[in-house]
Amino acid sequence: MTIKRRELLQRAAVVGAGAAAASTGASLINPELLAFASSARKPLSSMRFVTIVKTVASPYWAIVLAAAKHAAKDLGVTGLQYTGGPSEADIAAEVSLLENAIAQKPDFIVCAPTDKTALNATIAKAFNAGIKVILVDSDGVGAPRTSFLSTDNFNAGSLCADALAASIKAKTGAVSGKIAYATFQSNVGSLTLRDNGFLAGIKKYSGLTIVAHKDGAGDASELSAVSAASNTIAAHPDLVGYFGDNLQMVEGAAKAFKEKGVSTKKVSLIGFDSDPTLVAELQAGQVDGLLLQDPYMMGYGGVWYGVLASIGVKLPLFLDTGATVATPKTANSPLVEGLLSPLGKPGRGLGL
Amino acid sequence: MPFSRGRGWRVPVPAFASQGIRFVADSPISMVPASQPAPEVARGGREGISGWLAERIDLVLRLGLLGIILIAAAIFTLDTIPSKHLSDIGQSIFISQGNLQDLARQMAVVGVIALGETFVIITAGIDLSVGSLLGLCGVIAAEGFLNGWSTPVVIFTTLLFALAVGLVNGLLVDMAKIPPFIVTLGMLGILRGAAYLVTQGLNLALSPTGQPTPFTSWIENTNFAIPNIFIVLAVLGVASAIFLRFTRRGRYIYALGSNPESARRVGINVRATILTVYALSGLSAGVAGLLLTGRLGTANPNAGTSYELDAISAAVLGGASLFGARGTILGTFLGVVLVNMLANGIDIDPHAIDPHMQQVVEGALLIIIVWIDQWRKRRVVAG
Repeated sequence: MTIKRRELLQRAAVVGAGAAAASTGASLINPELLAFASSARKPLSSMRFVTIVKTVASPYWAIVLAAAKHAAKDLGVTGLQYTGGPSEADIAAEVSLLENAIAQKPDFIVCAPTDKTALNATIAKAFNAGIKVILVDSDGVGAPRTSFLSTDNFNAGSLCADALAASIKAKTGAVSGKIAYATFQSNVGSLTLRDNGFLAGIKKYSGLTIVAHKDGAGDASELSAVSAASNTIAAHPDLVGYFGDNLQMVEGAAKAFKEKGVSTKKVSLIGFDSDPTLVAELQAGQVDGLLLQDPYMMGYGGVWYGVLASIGVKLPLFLDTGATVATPKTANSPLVEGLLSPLGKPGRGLGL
Repeated sequence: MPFSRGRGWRVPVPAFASQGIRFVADSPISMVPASQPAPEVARGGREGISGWLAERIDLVLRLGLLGIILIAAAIFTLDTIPSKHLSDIGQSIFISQGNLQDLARQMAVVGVIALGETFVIITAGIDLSVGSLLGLCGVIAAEGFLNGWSTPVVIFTTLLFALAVGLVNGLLVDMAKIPPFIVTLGMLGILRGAAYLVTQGLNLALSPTGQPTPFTSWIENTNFAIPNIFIVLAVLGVASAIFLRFTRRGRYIYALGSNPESARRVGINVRATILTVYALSGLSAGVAGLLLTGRLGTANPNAGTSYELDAISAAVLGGASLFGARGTILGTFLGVVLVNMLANGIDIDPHAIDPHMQQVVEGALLIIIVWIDQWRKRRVVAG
């Protein structure tokens, strides 16, 4: 039975709110929360917020936005905007969106900064204007915020190193050989942390040598990822492992290996994130591990935290939304399934 | 539209002057014997070894772009021999079948776009919308497959749409007299936005379960060890070259680029010619979109971003002039080969250059190469 991520979070939220679940299950607004909100003179129905992610042109962020919409529906609050820039590289676009959001005077803003320092001034402006700021996924280092929900990217990178070593051992019998890693874009906070975590984790395995470090130059169409992977294999035909630090890099590598007829019995492929194509490839054994973050939690929890902060609840400054490695063996287990396909059905659509 | 070259009343001779026809403004067409061919490079004058060397270098450089490609290929071949011994040259990674196939695949998509772009550039126009059109066509193709349409229907619909967009570009350039830069720049935004609207920013997998479809299988396959995706480029390239050189419409394209006013006065149907070049550019973007979607198995609304710049640089490298009337399909093809070969060769180099240094090297090499080519051309003219 597939536990949908949304149901899981709904049940958790109900238990956390300390009241019996509403019998219909359709609305999460239990009486205690409503009472608390009214006493704080902040009825839920009058609450407004804005969600700004790095870009709308990505399956990962589509999940965050969809989750935010679900949370808004479950809580009965109003989302003024669910938006993002045209690409993760367009910092100026996100700054403009944030400034426009501040002008609308929402109760809280859920924001995923696309640069670790460039948005700090604008975030500070929002914070100082009394708007609760919930950062998700990537940190704006030094910016004031109400809370920050994210994967611990360094730790996640290190988990990937362990998963790669385990896969190499299972396939070749020994933890030794040449490996390569590829980053989607340089100087992005979360990606750099993942790479550093991976490199730190790989140091434990003295038999593995890194022979190539590729850069995808932020090409979201995956063509650079495919070229990077196929050129790496061409230059090092005896490669045993490849790590891609985001969805595009690992998906491109899987395509390149398929195109070149690289034997999956010899080369291990590990990467971050998932989408229906990657899930199918994981189940078929073409990808050996996917580091699953919890973008659904970031969106859903982000809105929840925003609501709680708006009615005066004191929140922890950081929430680790967790990292799980899915392997072909664990791909069909219920917990992993919910993380692999948070929106439920394969294909497209935001599933609202 | 192209402006005059500032030579007053004298009209620049169009590219087909060698056929023996010279056009002069405001006078009837006169059949005049062709003027002399380009002056020969002065040989000799330098004795001994340096003279011999100069002649050898000159010979290679006279081959122009082809010579440069051969030199670069030689360097990459020698550099990627795993054992570093000259005798093992057959083991070189660069010329291995796998890598050559990769190279063929890597250049196919931009190559097809560059073909269409060449036509437009020869008329002194420009088409900036091809990248976005590629993305949108890929999305349309994916939507078609996901709706259960058969492969021929998908291909037909996508190409029809691409043709229509090209015609719209052409009409706006010709009838509304808007500069091609502006028309295609606006179209770039419209098409890219449309791709995002249709997909809501998500990728569209051709098959939700990741299984290969007949379309993707055919594109991934090879015939006689040549990737099919490259065969498409080769066939289209040959057809384009024949069209440009041997048909009347092809010659009219050069005439239009050389001087549109003269072309109009001699009775060339300027509107038909403009519509032709932009339609061909649109069609090439449609084909490229199908090829990319087939190769990746997914349609990405971001696909094709800035491909138009790669196509234009390839065409210019190959000898096309942004002022019009110059350019050949073969030149564009060589330009595409050179750019992709540099990227591939540097990427597989075992010296493991930092990826950012790679970008610096690629950019520098491009400038040096065009500089050498310009130097060679000046030497030829100076005699």
